[in-house]
Amino acid sequence: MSTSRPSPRPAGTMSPHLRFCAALLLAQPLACVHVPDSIKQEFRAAEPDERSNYQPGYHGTAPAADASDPWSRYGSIGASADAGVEAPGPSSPDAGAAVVMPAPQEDGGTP
Amino acid sequence: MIPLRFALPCAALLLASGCITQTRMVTVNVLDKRIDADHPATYNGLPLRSGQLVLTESPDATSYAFFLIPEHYYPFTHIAVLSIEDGEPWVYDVTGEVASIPLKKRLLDNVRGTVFRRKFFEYVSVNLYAEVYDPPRDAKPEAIAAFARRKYDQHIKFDTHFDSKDHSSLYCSEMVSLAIQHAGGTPPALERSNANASITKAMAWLGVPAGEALPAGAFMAPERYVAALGQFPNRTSAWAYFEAKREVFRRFTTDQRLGYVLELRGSGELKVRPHITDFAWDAAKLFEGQPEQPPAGDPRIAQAVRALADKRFGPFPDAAPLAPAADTAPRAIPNATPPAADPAPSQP
Repeated sequence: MSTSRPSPRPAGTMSPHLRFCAALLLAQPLACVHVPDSIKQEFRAAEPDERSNYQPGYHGTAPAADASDPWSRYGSIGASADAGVEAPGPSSPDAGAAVVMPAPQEDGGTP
Repeated sequence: MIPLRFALPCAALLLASGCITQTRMVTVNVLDKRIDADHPATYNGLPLRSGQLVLTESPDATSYAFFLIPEHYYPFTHIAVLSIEDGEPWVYDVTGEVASIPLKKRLLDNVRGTVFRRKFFEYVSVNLYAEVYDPPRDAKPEAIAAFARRKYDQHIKFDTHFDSKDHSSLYCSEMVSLAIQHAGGTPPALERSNANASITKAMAWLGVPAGEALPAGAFMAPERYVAALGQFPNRTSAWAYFEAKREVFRRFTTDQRLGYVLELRGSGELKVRPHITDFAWDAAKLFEGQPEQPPAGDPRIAQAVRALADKRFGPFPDAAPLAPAADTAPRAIPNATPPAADPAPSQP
């Protein structure tokens, strides 16, 4: 005769106690990081009357940030080293192929 | 005044959560490649060689935070070095990660990392997008790869303080910069950081003083382009996404707050505001189904994305209007191949 008691829960589920512990563990990771109020203020969503440049209506008054086209800047980066190198021309017709593979576990080493 | 150092590409990585462990199938689309006399196919039809640089765009929310840090806009969030070993391409990069249970109050105090070595397609598959570039012409490619392998063997630590002068620990672009120098080449110069007050405050909170940056995107050069891979349907779509980020950057003027773009939850978790991500994903689809796909760098991509931003957020004129097509056309770098006829993106 078996002495073990059948579990009242379906296989693969956790007891409320275990669930609580799991939730606690999941909540733990970022719980210790201190976010001061001044930083929370910086991350507040824009109010309707605020001059956000990301909503229709009144925008900020500061001039646009310097977002010059990155393609135009690359001419000066390593220009001496790369002088005389031609831009790539048309090439292989079989690009567009796909490699399907199991994704590695995100071990934190990935971007 | 003490010169301050800051580098953002790695910061985007180190803040990525390491808690996702589910295994899933991922499609890595080879979107484009440059095959010519100098670039013969070496691996799965790709012209991969030791010493090439792998630039990646992270799918993580932090990629939207740290691209705002430099004075100028740069695409990509991370950089690594390729090394061909017994015919197999391996990628070496310096990456940090937040501890599973960060017990310290300051976020970056909970970060640890080192040099990693991963198979090329595995490395690329967890990213949104990647491009491979030849190293600068004056650098010996094998010496670049050898430098990265040596740092891997030395178990060099990730530099959570982003100190470009102290090389006892390294961040991603610092390692690549040193590798190029050791190989006889000229790496890009450090970039100044954004003077926006909100960014400066956030950097002070992180314990990383603002001052200078060495963005991963500074290492790319159109003439050294080799290949593009990722989850976009084609290279045009990827560069429309980057254009959207450039537009977000352009609008992040000195009077804007980080909260207009990002949300920082009470737990410290960073999220991108939905209207920003929606804008970027919709920009990536702007040329979907069109018979002609403008090549990366084509001004038509910038113009279409700007028009979308004006519609979503209201017009926001530049100090100078977009250059006429005639002036910008020579900057356009053609895709090596036409886009795939039947793209099957898994995202976005």
